[in-house]
Amino acid sequence: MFRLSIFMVVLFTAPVLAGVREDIAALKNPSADPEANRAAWDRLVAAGPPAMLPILHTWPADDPVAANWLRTAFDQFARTHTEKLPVEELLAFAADPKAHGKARRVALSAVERTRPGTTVKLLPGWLNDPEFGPDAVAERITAAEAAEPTEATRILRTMFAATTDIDQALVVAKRLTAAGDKPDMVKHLGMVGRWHVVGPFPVSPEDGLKQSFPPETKFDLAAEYEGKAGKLKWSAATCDPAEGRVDLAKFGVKPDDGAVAYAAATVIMPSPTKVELRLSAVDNITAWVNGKKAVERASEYRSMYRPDRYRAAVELPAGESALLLKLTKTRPEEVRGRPGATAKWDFLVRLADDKGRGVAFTQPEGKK
Amino acid sequence: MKRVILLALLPVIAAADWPQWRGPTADGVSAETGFPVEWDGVKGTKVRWKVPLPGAGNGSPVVLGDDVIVTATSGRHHSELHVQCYDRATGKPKWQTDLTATPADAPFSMFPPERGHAASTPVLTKKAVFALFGTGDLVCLDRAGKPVWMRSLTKEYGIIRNDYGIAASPVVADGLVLVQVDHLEGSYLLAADAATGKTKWKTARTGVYDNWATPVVVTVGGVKQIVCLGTKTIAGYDLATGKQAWSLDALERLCSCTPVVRGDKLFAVSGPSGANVAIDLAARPSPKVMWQSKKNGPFVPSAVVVDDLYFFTDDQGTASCLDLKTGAEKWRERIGSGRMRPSPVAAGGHVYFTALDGTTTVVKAAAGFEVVAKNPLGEEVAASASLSRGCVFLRGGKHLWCLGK
Repeated sequence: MFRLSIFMVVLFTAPVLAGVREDIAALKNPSADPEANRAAWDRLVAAGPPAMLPILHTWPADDPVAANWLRTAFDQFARTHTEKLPVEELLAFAADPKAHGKARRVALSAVERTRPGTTVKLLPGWLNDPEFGPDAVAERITAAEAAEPTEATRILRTMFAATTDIDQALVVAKRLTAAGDKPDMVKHLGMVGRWHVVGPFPVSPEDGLKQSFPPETKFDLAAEYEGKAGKLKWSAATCDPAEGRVDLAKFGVKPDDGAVAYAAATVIMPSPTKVELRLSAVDNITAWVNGKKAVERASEYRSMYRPDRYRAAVELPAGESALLLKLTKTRPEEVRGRPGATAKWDFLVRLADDKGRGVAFTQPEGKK
Repeated sequence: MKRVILLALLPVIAAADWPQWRGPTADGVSAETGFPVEWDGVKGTKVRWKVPLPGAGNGSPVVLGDDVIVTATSGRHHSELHVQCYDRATGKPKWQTDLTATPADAPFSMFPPERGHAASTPVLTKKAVFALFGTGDLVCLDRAGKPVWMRSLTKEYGIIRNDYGIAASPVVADGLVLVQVDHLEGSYLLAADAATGKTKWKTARTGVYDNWATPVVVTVGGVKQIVCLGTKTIAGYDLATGKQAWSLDALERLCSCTPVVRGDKLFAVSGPSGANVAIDLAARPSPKVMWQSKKNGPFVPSAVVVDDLYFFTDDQGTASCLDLKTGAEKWRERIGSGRMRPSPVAAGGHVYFTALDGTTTVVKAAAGFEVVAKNPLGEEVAASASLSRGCVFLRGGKHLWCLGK
């Protein structure tokens, strides 16, 4: 009898699963015909639980439209048939750090609707999780806000190392600093802290975008260039240790005398490393890594400083690598900031993994 | 069959509905009467219902038939997108469709209120919901929340880098969904087939950067155009082809306010601290400025026109009334201490000015200044009000409110 039951289950579920696989494959590469997509979607919704885990395991990482065709089918069933959800399988999937992060999130949301409070219980154990880590940090920050000072500091200390998001790390570091700690933001987030800067080259913002200057072709710390009010020389610059930003104006490079400046740094990797170069600047920034252009933002129109706004995957060899930045200001606008306020001209560069965790490197002392 | 689908996707404009940004006639005015002029959200006076929202957003609620729909975003970096439908009579949730956002610039978070990626107001038709998020995700759902078509404009055309996030709402006209994506790195105006989502035309907006104004459809000389405000310029595009027909440099750098159209006249304002300008769209050889006000216009809230009067408030809460034909000032009065973010709406001889602190000041839509009521909500409001069937719908920071008798 048992064998017969197994046979019957296999007999009737095999065609369903085959259909599910076909429809998932169809939605993973959506057709140009929306009616065909919707037909596959309807069949998938009708298939119910057998489709849920296959959808999650097939999550299309690089196609947001395909992901949403599949996600909405998953949710449609999950919302209307909560009693039939394979809760334990969904939880196991949500807890698997190797699975696709967004698919894990969808699985957890489905469980949360059935078992409210599940997420809150799990988050404290996910501080270093590649997908839910920032959520866990946010939950801990909230917990620290509600705790008395000693306990709040203890909570913040336990999670500073887990922060990967600049905004969150800044909040935690600021509070730890206020409590007397010395959190090292620069090292923790892989911020490049020691630079040499030169400028401004006497050129208009418009010409600055088009023109190249000698640092792009030959890097020489001893070189001197013609400036508006005399010779331009490289000078050492360091980032603000609290935020990692380098303010060019603090090192004598002010946009009143020209629109282009350069910044150069050397980083030393202990071994060949794939990193995400994450950077931001007020207005324009072009970055070269070992002579190869990695990022270029060049526009006549201003841009705000937004941490980690521009990103590029680069491979750094073991030993020294050279970073070179060209920073170009845009023309001041009629109404911008407080009247008389000094125009900002700062940037931030960090080396991180693809989740935002700072990678380990050193910088030489006393040279670029 | 295709024709039937297309017709079903055309906007259904009825006076009792509020199916899109700024209502049935896209100007913030309802032809209905009987809306409440007094309420108190703190005491519960005239509160028909109040329901929690699934996330943040500044887009207005849209109302059609029995449905009230809002968009919202939540989660880390607001990467969870929501389209939520409520029953208009009770506020009971009817359906919710969640989407995973295309990776985007994190929402600007320097100043409250929390913005997220749901600054645009969706559009409702008899059969469909069209929603655009700041992540570039443009979706068409049926009225049960099931997908009809979906696009990722970010995936197709590159990441949208608007320092404050895009806010222009989609517009549906002649079977097209029109979206104005103005940002720092490659602005464009896109027309997608409402039935299929496929691109009908896409026009680059060269020299145009961060703006947030929603475009408006006008008919000039029997030809339909879509008019966009952005980076000092007003430009008209042929609705059928997307070809730019004209442009006029009459604005300030940043354009947040949706212009108002009356016949072949268009009234626009831009910021910071720009002048209101009246444009004669029918002028030959190209549109021209009819009048221009003092430079005390709004930055964020759009203006509203009732009869021959033009009402607006600056961002600090000083409201003004101008003569629509000449631009002459009728009155200029301080109406509140709160910052103004929502755009005013008008109905039944009243103008409703809502401040960020949630207080709505109701004034007579008249050439003389007269405050009718000041109505607290007890919750911050950054979205503009919607008016439908005797009810005022307000989207607060945490709740959707239905105010009525």
